[in-house]
Amino acid sequence: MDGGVYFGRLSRVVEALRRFAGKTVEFDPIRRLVNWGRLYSLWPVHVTTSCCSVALGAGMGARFDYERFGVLPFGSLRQNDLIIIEGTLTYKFAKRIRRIYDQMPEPKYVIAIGACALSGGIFRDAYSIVKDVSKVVPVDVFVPGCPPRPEALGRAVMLLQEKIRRSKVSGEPIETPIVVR
Amino acid sequence: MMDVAGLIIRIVKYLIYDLTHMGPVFKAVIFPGLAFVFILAIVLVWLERKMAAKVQMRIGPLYAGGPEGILQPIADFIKFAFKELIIPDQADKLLFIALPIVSLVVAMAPIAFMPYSRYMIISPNPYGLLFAMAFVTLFPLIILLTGWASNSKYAFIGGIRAAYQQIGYELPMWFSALGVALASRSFDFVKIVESQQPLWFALTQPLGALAFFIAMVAEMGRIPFDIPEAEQEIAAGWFVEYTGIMFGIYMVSAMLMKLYVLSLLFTVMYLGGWLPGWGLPEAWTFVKAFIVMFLIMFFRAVFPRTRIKTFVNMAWDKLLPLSIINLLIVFALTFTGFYGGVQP
Amino acid sequence: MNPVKAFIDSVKSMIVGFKYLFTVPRMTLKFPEQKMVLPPGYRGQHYLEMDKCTGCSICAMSCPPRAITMVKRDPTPRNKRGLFPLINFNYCIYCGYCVLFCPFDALHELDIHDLAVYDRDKLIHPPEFLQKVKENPEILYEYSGMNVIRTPRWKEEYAEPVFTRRGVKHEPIRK
Ligand code: SF4
Ligand code: SF4
Ligand code: SF4
Repeated sequence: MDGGVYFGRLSRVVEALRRFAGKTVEFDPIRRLVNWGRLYSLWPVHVTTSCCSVALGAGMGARFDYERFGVLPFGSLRQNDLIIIEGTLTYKFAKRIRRIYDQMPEPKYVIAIGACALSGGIFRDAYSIVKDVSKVVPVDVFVPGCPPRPEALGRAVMLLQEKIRRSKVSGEPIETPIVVR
Repeated sequence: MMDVAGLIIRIVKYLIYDLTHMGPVFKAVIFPGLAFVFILAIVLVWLERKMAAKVQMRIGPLYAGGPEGILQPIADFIKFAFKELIIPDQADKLLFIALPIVSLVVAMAPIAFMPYSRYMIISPNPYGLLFAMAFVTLFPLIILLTGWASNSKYAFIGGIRAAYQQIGYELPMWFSALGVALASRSFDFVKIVESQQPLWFALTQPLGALAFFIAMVAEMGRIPFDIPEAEQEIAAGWFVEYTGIMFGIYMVSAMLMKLYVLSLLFTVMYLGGWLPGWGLPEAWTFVKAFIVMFLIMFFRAVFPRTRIKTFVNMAWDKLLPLSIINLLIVFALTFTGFYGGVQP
Repeated sequence: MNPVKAFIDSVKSMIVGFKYLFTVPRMTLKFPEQKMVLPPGYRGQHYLEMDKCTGCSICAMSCPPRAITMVKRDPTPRNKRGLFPLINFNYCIYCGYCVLFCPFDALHELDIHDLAVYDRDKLIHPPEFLQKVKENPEILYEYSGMNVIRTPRWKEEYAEPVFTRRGVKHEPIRK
């Protein structure tokens, strides 16, 4: 978490406290608790770039209800921690997505769904399409499909949860061997 | 040194006595006070999400932990506690940081005057109704200040909307409360409940109860009247700039404490509090208040939001006459001795 | 608006809400534990039978987003030039044209449709891998790194179609 906390003249003391707290927080039980809180409370932003949003709609609807995983679409950016980029991203909208991403507070994640978001998909020859979303915002999980099924979106959420479970409180990943079952 | 040790022993002894005999510390910290309220808050958030899910034929939070995902609100709170705090450059920094705490204090203060039974009050007060209503009235001011302090367009619009809405519902609310005070001839909550002995005020003053109920839902900012935080219109309204733990505090104070406090207020004023008093009186109060809370949370699942103009028009055209008529009826009835006791 | 009518309307809507709260069953599919019944012919991940492929490149020509690249492998008697399709699922829109147009029935589709990856390179499937998918479709999950997920992959529990349940009906469109 390296965003700015500004407390005027107190900022040095706060900085020292933060460094101390940053070390304390990485102890394993606390880390697990914090990660548990984060991974079961991923709130996505209401931002819809293109037609893949039907997958999000189906995923949050009654049939596949990903609120079971704690995914609760919420109105404003400052309280959210997940952007789901749904399909085609035009150059014009890419600036907005970047701005939305920058406005969100620090542990934040991105899921890109749809062939258009991954590579341009069917519109790969168009002049106005961002061919690779990860050049605009860092993407954690990719989902192929046009549009992907809601099940795939659920898999993406589960993969993201697994990624959070294997990371430090500050957000860096811990190297753990991946268990093959 | 002996003195200090003796003092500590005396304090511990007092605390043990207090906690085992339901003294003031027990009341403030455990039963009608903090611990009870926070556990209730967790259950309420979970219940609200679960209930909305059930009405929409979904399941709602499930995998977070506990039976049926009851630990979901704790997960949310932990997440918010460890999120980055963003304080906008143009915000009024002192106000911006201080306001969540002030709002929590203001939202929780009326709990001190609310009776659960004749003896289960944190601070017995002959003017309890006035104090509680004063703190309740104070909250929209904090919303307005929050909108102003965040210095953001949507937050400011939200704050203004809260103030505008308050102009509508505040008068009917106070007039209805006045009817209750007049009928029981007291501002003391205990007397108010005792004077509902044969019939609840909800039955003898239905117009006032209706006006108070609608005004109360507006005051809570719950869904038919959640105009200050209209998600689809103005992002999230007045708390749009708050991140992390500050938003967590707002979530507790504005969304849960107000729901709890006002439902309890309605129970005590109109639904006869702990009457009929046999058995465990606290349980009677709690069950009634819980039903009111359940009903208000249920509104979220079925109703859309009203427009602000519609609401203010309704408040001035319908609610205010309703509460004034109610007050006049009560005034007339007191002369006939309908509400018992001595004639004024 | 008539306030009495408005009041009655809101009470009615409350009653509908309570009906749903207490009587109507939930229709949620508990996804990681239950599987949904898909219609036959669902277009999911592809597999290739390398011994049938002749390297005619019709699949690559018919692919709208040009997801298929022909790559050089060892020639076989049937495939003298040694050209085989490599499918990049970053581009694939699962339209099924390649399967439809393949004159020798070498390409096929499975109903596996729930891939998600950390690393996009895992979505590029060379012909040998497409061949392996035929023998063991589960290899898709291992290859794309999804076996980190702890929840059970499938319990063999199939969800009923929605309309057979009580309380939820699909009404035909009235003309
Ligand atoms: S991948 Fe398909 S469904 Fe998604 S945005 Fe692109 S064209 Fe639309
Ligand atoms: S399914 Fe369509 S997009 Fe995918 S490889 Fe085949 S032809 Fe190309
Ligand atoms: S997969 Fe079918 S269409 Fe494609 S090259 Fe081989 S034989 Fe031709």
